[in-house]
Amino acid sequence: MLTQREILSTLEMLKNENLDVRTVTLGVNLLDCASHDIEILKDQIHTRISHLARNLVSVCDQIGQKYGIPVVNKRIAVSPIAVVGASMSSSQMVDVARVLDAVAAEVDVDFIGGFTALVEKGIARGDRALIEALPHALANTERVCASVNVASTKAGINMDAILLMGKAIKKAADLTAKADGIACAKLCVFANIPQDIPFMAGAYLGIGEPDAVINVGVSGPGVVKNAIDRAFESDSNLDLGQISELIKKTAYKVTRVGELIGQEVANHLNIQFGVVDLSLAPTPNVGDSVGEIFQSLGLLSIGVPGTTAALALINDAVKKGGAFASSRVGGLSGAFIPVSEDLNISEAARSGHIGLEKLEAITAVCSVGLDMIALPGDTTEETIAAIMADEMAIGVINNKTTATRLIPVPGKKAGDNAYFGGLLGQSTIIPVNNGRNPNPFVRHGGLIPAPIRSLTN
Amino acid sequence: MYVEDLKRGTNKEVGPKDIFEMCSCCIHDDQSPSLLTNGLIPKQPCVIYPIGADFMNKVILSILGHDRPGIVAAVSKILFEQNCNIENVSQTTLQFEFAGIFIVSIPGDLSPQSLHQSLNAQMAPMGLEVHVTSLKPSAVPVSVPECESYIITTKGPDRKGLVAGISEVIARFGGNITNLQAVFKGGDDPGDNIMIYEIDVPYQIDRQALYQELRRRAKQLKLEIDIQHRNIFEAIHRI
Repeated sequence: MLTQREILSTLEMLKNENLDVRTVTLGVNLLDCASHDIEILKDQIHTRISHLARNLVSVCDQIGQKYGIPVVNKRIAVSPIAVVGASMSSSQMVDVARVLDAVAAEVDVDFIGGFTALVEKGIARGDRALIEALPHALANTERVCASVNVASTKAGINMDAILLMGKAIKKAADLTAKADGIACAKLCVFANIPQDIPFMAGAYLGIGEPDAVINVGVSGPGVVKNAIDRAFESDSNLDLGQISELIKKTAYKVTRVGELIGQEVANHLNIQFGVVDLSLAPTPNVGDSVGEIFQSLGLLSIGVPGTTAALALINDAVKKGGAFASSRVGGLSGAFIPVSEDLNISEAARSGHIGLEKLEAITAVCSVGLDMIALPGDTTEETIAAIMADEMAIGVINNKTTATRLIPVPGKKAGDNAYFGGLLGQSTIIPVNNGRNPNPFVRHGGLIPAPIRSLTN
Repeated sequence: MYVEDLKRGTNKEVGPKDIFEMCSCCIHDDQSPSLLTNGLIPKQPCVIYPIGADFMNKVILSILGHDRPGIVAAVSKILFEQNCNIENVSQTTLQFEFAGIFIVSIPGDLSPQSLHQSLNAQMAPMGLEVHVTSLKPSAVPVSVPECESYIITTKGPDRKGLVAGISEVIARFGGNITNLQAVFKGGDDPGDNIMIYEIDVPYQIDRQALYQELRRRAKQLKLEIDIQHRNIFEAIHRI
């Protein structure tokens, strides 16, 4: 017999605290679709994905209904296209992106990730073609998401790649200037990219993964915030250790949902179950905010002094609770601080409580990176490269994943509003120190060597 | 009646006046007791019953009344004094009223009526009602189809016919309610009346049709309704 408390608290989480399965992402291996012939390649890709993903959406909906917990997004992640299409030219890469976009629409998923290149130690031919193709590929498709891994703790930081990415980002923004540079919202630059992220835009199916896999991203910042609020209401003298314990237990519950539903979707589809990504991922919906958690903890806003310590507490507690709840944990499993996707965080940016420097600082304690940050349109490509280099350095030295999703909004300046729409939200453009000037440091290029800590053998 | 002589490995016919000892763990499915001859050590922890007892008969006892300390103590004392054995028990309290069901095996020389009398003599002064019926094991086991467990939660203003309305749909589809709870949030908000139905649904019934019917009925009754498989609650709250 279930107790009333178990049943009612679960319903409360579902109905009023935005508990849901944020995404079920089907990883699809395309490596054996490789061909020198672009038409064969496109055809194989289309057939492979449409076959494997044909029931993804309906099964997710069916299981979501069984448990009364919505699977909000269904997505696909493919093998890195820079490898799959290694012999393609950049204009052919754009064609491949179009095929991915088309098949994603056919099977009714909202994003397809994997337009990816891994260049932490050097740029191979296929990687270069993909990077050059990025601006057009992203401007001319809706659902395709791209990622480029430019650094790793083992390999170091590829400054040449970062410079290329700075260029690509500016160009992609210009091509979508009417939509505030939205193409850049579908592109992430990584250090230490995990091979099994279910969230976009970083999702791709890593080498070493099976032919098909189901990865799940849960989320529930609203559940965590409400748990903290309730705890303080009944006892205002709780200390941070007790709060940490509470967040841990709440994260356990949230992650269990993902584990249960992910395993069942995988069983139904007869596909291997991969990982649960424990990340606390917000949306622009009211009550679904990570920023509000900071306020519940007693900070005026995310960004004021105390933010980094609070995030360290939250992130660690989420990992501990989530790790116990799942059979396998992977992906990013960190707190997302996507400035435009979280109403509270974008408000903090608008009011000046949080700026680029603080956003960068908190990525050292396991927030995932500089995410969905709108920059002034006249930020130079070298500055963008320099911002990325800083973020990659944090990841490489600390042996963790970091990433950037930067959007220079053409024609707008700091303080203006950038609007991306839907889940991508909107936010104020934040100022960049020395943003308009050249940056001779990054222009040196080359490879920043791997840190000594990478010598673990 | 035949009893099994465990020491000699034979069966022996006994009559109601024969004197023998037996233990409850040796009572077989067909309810024929076994004979413990002197000196035999039972294998498991056994309750050895006084000589002369016969355990063919079982009754269901139900006790109803205002809750207070001492009800179970009083009932079980009488049962012990009457050489009865409580085989299973379930009790619940609802708004300060106690309800208990006991499955009791009674000795052959005790009739359900006289047990009722002894119990009533003690319980009535305590303000409790007693009901005793013989338990007849069914000759053919009822076949139970394979089921899944769902939890239906309804929320809305209280009115006549809510439980009747929802349970009618459940019954129509062959579902069985295994637990039913009403939750009053304690406030004056009439909209806060919550009912929780735990139901077993046979695998072969059409789930979609059941969901639709339940939702339609809930709408007629002005209720919010949620229908969820039990596993989600266990997954979240239990390790």
